Amino acid sequence: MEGNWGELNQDLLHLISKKLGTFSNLIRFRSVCKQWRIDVEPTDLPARLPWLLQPDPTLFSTDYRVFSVSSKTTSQIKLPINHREFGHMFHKAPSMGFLLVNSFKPKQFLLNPLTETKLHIPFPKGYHRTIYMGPNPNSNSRTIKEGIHLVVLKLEFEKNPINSIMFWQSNNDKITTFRIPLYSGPALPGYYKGKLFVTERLLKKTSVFDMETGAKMNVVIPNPGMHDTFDFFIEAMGDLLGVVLSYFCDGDLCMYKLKVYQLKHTDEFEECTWIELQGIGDRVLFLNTENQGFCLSTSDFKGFRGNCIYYLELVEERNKDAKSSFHRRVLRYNMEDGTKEELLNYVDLNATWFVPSLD
Amino acid sequence: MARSSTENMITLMSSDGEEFMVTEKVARECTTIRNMLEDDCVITNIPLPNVTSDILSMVIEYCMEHVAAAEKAAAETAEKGSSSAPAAAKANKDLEEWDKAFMNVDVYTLCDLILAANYLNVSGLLDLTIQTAANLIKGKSPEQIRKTFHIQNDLSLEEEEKIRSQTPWAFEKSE
Repeated sequence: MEGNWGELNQDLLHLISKKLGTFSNLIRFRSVCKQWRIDVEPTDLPARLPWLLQPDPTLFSTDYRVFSVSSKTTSQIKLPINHREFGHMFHKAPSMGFLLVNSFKPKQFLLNPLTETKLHIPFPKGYHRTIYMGPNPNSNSRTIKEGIHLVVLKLEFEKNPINSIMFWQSNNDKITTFRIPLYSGPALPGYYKGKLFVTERLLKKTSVFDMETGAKMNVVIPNPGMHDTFDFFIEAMGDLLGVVLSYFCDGDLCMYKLKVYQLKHTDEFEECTWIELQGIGDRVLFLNTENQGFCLSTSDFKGFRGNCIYYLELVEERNKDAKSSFHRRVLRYNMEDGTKEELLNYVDLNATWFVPSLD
Repeated sequence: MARSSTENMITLMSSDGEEFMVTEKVARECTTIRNMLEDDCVITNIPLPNVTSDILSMVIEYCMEHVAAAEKAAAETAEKGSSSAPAAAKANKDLEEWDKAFMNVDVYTLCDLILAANYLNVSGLLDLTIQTAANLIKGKSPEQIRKTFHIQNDLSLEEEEKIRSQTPWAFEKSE
């Protein structure tokens, strides 16, 4: 033993890398010498909770403010896309580190803003909303290596508006397209166990489609209550959850009330019912704008509280001339006692949850 | 602290031939040694060809301190029927302070301690030394890290430039 740091073995460097806490520290640590670069995988990241990403208000700037849920602090980073592009990525559905860029242009790609990895998406031109973007949810490990699935809802505003689903798998670069009933939301369809769950507000029911064939299954799931329409469908660690946000006013105070239902079903979905949950265990839901959300398990994050929902509430502000302006605030809803906490009182309308990854 | 005279003593021998007599309890803090003792319970003399005497003496000092702290806590619990929470918290804090002072070493010694803790499998010491190393790295630029740990920069200018251009935000200012 000579006290030579350059010769620490890979296991020990790995242990150190796990304690560095932030991406920047890890990247700088990997930039010290060749051996450290080889031995420390870029994926040796300290487990990170989502960021809330919001543009700084100057157009064409590439500065973003990042609110870290784990440290509850806001810091600043530069990303390789400007605010115009960010604003245009209407459907910034979070995934393992990717953002979907340029929804309006024929050229679309998934971008990991931290590594600048780009993945071209062969979708035709059009307007669509992202239902799911991330690792194949049917694989056990759920890593990018096993392929990315991207599911979008394609909206067409012609004489006879129709809705269709486009489903792209990176492994075989295959696109499956099929038609669904007219989207009436508010929840975007849910992608769960190779099936697509489409809720129909007026009919108060949910229909089920097979993702591989696009065939409508002979299953109709009635909504759980007369007044409960789903706002979010979220695949949550092997369950499909339906979240209902009801807006109610008590005097001057208007607020959201959150209810979570779980789909109980037989293996082949012949029998399905919604059961209201009092709690979601060690899971945490993140609700984005655009009726899209995702779930994390606190078992991956030491010291982080489960059984709660992070969401972005729309706030209307009236100025002296009674003109409205909108922003959002970040709230955490604790399912255990039904209380809410405000984490940030003012965020940009375009703010989005983003799961950082160097994968 | 009273020790029964029948307690087994083990001799640990460093790479430079120095012998250290320790109680079996202290030696067992090293999982590697514990496994040896469990495989062969009559063993009393263990050569450790990978650990020098000055590092081995520090590892033993660490193990003795932690064994003594655990014994003290156990004795207090036995005496009062249950341990009082403030007393336990204070004992923990004292031990943390001791660990902190123990980590006041140069980077060469720290590296040797990491290697020894890993080789002897002393999980508490490994965790402590790894955390200390991580703390020395946090917030530093690659150049500052090289300087701290006396590491040669063997990356070419092109490689360095490439790393910087991939993730410029990581190099702009420390978080």
